[in-house]
Amino acid sequence: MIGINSIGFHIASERISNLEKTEKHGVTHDFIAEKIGIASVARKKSAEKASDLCVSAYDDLAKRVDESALDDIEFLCVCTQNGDYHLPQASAIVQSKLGISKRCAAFDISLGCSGYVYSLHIAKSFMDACGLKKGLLFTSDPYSEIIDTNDKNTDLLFGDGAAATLLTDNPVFDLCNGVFETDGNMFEHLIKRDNEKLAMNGRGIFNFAMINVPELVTKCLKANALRKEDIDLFLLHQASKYIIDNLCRRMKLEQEKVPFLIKEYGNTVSSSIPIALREYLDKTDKKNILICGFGVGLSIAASVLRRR
Amino acid sequence: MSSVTHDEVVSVIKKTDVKLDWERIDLKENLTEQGADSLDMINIIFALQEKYGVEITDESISDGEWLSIDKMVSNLNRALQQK
Repeated sequence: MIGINSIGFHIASERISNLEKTEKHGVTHDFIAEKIGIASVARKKSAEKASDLCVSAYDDLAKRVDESALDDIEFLCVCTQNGDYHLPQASAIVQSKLGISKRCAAFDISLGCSGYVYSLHIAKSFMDACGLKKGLLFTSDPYSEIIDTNDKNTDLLFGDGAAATLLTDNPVFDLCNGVFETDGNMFEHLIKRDNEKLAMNGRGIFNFAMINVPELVTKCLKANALRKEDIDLFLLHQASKYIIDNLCRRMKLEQEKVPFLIKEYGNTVSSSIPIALREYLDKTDKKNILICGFGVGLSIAASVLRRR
Repeated sequence: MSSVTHDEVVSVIKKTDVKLDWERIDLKENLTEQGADSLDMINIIFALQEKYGVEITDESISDGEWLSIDKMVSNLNRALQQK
């Protein structure tokens, strides 16, 4: 069965300090440090595209695995809503840039912060169904291209980054049962209309997360016949410190089991979970990891990763 | 249904862990003038919606209708009467 073998990631090298934007956005240092929890956001170079971030994440992955581990890639998927072009799909461009053989299925998945959990399940199902042994799942959604830098709701939150997840039939983590929900009635809460910048209703997202994340986590535990105590780590989408803190309080979880890791680079959308997960790939005491992504749609997905 | 009281609303707000000086709280003054920030207000209003099962619109929040505990109590009682 296909699962996660390794992860590489790339966080854009330039950092914009949020603490220097307090006056511009009418907020305090404490608000940024204690509530948003993001001291600086990562910004890609303007000429860099989603596919370039994928290539950098791949280069990081290549340093972590044996030379032959990335041979014979048969599957390549990019989860993005800010690809290089409206068309073609970013996955085809990434395949070309990496020089991967044409004997490779490649497609994009259009999802935001729930995208990693969805994409893992789509990739696993596709690969298992087609008998494919080795694939790459990329997440790359450079929001700096769509942010209004005068909008404090988004300017202080989002950073540019990408992740490359190697999927194989000899994984470190097996993917257990996933649960998925959507509330399309709330689609306007996080939206980028044509010729406009990203607009986010922070209250709408907060309310959605507070109601739906605890419910879906409970459903996910049930779907996998697990109890809360069986989970070693809850990797929730790294939206903001305030959302993570309040979810932790609401679900009565131990704080050390719910890490917040994006202080230095910001919310990287669908890459936030794989970048965080990389921190724990080699920590063998983390046997069961629950992952939960939520955002654009509004969409939410949760699953459990079980260490082999 | 009995009326919502100031004590009940204070109790709901305290459960959100929003940091306010409860010894000196002024029920008529805006909470944003007493230490609450914009995220705290989102959290407080969410907690009130959940506790009392009322819908609180973005417009009424923008109009400043939920800034003080006094206004919260009045608006909750009005909303509950209309249910």
